[in-house]
Amino acid sequence: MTCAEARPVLGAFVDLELSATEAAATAAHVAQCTACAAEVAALTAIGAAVRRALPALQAPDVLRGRIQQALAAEPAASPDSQTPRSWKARWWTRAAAAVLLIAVGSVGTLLVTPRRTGMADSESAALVDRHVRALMAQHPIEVTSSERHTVKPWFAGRVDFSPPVPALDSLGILLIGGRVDTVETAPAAVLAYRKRLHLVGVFVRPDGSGSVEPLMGESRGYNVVRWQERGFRFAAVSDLNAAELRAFAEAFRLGAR
Amino acid sequence: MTDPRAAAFEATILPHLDAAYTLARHLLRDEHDAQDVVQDAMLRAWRHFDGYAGGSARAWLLAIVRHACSSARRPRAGDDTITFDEEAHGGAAAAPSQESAMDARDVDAAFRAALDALPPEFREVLVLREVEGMSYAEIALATSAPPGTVMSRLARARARLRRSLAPHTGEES
Repeated sequence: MTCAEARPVLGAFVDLELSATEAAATAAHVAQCTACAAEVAALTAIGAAVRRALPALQAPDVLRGRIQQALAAEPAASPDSQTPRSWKARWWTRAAAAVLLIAVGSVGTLLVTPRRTGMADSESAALVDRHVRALMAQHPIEVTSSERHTVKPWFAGRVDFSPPVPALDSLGILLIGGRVDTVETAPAAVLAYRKRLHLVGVFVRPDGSGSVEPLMGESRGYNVVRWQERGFRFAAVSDLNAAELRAFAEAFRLGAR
Repeated sequence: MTDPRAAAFEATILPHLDAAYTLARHLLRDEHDAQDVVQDAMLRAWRHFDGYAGGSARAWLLAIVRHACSSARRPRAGDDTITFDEEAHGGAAAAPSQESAMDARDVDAAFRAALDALPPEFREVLVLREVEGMSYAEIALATSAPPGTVMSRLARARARLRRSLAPHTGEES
């Protein structure tokens, strides 16, 4: 390969867009041509400089919240004139589905009416305290696995109960592991899930005192949702917003059944 | 009991919110405009979600974001198609000072200026490639341009930036 042949494809070479054969030929040329090697280095440097000047950003929580509200408001929007008839038909189906969804308690977070953030009660504060301590510790997760059949048995012998460990992958919520913690002197099994960049800690403790529907709480900027069923007392703690955490709880409850 | 459409949207489209925001922010260079455009684009994506036929969900969403950005830049333009005149957007504005003794900060500033002077078609292809790490095929989808055009835009954008990165090096040194 000559410089004249190599030059036009160096960009694609750096971008790993060449076929294996082309890439091999280009690499061989670059290895013995200082000018082309300098060009490759410059292209790489430009990439790094672009990433410095235009970094990858995270959508602000405000925007996330606004979008969820706007999406939640969608089905209720007035049927507008420019909507084609077929679409309008679907619109009503969707509105009906949304109403049902909200009534039943949704798995998707989109159509859940964003709830007011809950009270800063003492139990939420205690749970957030354990959650934050774990995040700051060297090993916030004692067993790291995305496999529920690994995580669930891990608790045997560490706590005297077997917590439900639902798989929620299909909802974009990944199991990442578990640990044992103590909340208000009682041992708790803690499951760690991740949704996007947000970690969710689910505290599970045995409690046979009956069922309690999810209740939102809040402490130090973290949201907490607590509920009781099937002989367990559950609490999920996360920096997810309240609506998303509430939806997480519903997904967890469904998955645990 | 769940709305499968909402669940599907949540699973395929919403995870690319950060990418959408990154693109809008770097194209519009304004926090508030970027937020408005992304919100608008997400709503459009939801309304047209039935038109998503698989493939790269990121490219599909970013195509919508990109359209929303170009309408935001030219609110009263009749169409969304981007016309780009290489001559009109000549590099003169970006021409960095030719002093040879530039320190790192001057180089950074010159680079920044060169980036800012790039037409949006060039900046977007750089964001998609260098920041989002998208393949040429994905970028072609997102920008509704043939892969050959993607490649040549990237090459031209990089050539301009290169001049600002090392002005004293010249073309071949």
